[in-house]
Amino acid sequence: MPPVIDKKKCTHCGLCDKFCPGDIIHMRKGERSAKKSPAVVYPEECFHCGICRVECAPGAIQIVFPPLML
Amino acid sequence: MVKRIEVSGDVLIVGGGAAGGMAGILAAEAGAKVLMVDLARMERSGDVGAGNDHLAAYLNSGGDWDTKEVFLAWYLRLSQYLIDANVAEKTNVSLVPEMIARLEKMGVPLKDPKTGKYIRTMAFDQPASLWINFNGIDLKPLMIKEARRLGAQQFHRVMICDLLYAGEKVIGAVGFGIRTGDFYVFKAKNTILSTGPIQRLWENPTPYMFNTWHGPYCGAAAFHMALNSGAEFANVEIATNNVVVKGFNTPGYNGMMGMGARVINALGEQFLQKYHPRGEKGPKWAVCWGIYQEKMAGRGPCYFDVRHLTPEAMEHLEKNLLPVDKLTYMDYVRQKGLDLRKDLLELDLSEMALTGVTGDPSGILMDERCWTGVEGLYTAGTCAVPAYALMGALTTGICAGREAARETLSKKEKPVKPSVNAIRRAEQEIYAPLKRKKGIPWQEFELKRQKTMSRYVGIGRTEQGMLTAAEELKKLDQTLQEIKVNNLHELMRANEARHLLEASKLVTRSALERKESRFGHGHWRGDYPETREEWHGSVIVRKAGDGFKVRFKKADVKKSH
Repeated sequence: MPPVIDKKKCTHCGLCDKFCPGDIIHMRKGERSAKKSPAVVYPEECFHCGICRVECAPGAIQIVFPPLML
Repeated sequence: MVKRIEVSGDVLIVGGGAAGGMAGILAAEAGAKVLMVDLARMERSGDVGAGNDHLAAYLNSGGDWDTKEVFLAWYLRLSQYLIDANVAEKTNVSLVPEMIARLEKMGVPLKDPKTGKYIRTMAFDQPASLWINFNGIDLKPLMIKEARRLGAQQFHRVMICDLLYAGEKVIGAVGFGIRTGDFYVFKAKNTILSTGPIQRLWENPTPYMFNTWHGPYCGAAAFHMALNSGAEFANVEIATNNVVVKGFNTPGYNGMMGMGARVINALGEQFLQKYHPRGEKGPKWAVCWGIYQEKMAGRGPCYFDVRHLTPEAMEHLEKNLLPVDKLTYMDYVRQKGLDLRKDLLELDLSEMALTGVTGDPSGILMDERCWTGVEGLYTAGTCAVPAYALMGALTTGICAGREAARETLSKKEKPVKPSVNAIRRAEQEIYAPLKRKKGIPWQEFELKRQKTMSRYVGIGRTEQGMLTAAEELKKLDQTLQEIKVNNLHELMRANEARHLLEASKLVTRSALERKESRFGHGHWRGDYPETREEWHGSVIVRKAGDGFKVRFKKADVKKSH
């Protein structure tokens, strides 16, 4: 389900969370790391607007459409 | 314990989209203390948060078609003269040159950077090329930055849920922080409601509730609040659907048709002229009606066909238009495995919605100052009428911001203090779903409400069906009290459900009143299938006690000409 975040490219800046108009991405602490990382908490509420991808400077976000939409 | 934050100002703006953003700029520029509130981060909130590729405008470029008079005549004709000519001229059309000048001063690139000229195209029954095609990705960030520079105070991620009153006068609003949970009390001398279109009133044709044709996050807060204030609504029974890409549920119709695309059926025939003389360039409702009829006649599926376009036109379409209409448009086309130069793109009809698109005669009724008729309450943008799409949002934003500030600054009153009990009651209602020990999820409620609207007040309506809808919606009052949520995100969805239920009842009541059919699927009644002269006018509804009060206003075509 969109968006898909590449953990290797992510710099943990939090802009995807900040600008997502649907409040679907939340920065959360991982089990192994003290650093907060973005999690797509409400994928079923995504509008595929692509704002998270526009705001992501390192290009860590891809929009992948679910099979039911294709 | 919930933290309470109290803020006072001159002008409160509920919804920081295109209309609210412009209202914030104008009111702050006039010297008012402005409070802008949005449930998302404002730079990217609202229906054009991710940008837009087309803006309706006349530019007085010299041609006899590029004038205010031609534009106004088109504007009124598209609404079938249901909108008020004087209000449309004062709040929308006469402000187009100011809108263009302000956008360009802010740095919005309305001209093609390669040629330094405007790209003008034609669609949706325009008499001439009255669209400007442009790259509007940075439109919202630039506007919000400008409002901030002028001193507007901005509250992001705060959901306004209800208005506050002193008697019948609106004196502010309350809401909560969707990430902090803080309870906000805004006190203001004037409030502008600008929360945009309502997209989730009906079910959409995909499996995902938020995969709507226009932005799904705008909710129905303005409708809910205006309704409870006693403000009037015009023609809310007239909904709009659109031609969309099957599965993606996204249009791009304006960009496609502007470049010369065709709509064809499964037999490869162009057929829209059978249903409207202007074919692909006809009004949106007529295009949807034609596609529906063609599919019902067994000649579906239908397709967008752009295979005949020149390489230059295709490049403009694929690089500048479709990906700005929706940023992920070409991702979808690629993931679907299509090449638009060689392949057809299957289309579908979207859900019905109250979108405020070009030609839409429905919304919160306002006068030539964007005033609702309720003391202290203004409105702007696509939740109001008249206001068509982005151009209507920006111009009514200019008007509402300027007028609300002028009215506020002309009086030296202090803000009225809201009653402690009213604030407490509102607080309890807003947070109630979070406090319940058990109950149903908000999604269950919303599915039931959406299905009721689609079954009985959707495409094809009858008195019997709509009375069933009214009964079912009334039963949902009780179900609403059973929604239980687990966090603040869900609390936002639960409060949206409350607002959407009110809007559903309003639309159903208004649809019962109009005993004719008009605007294709917009209001198509099986029991009154004809468009009738005695119904050529506006159905106007307001809340009265537990019910509604309805009046009818004949269209004034003479005044409009």
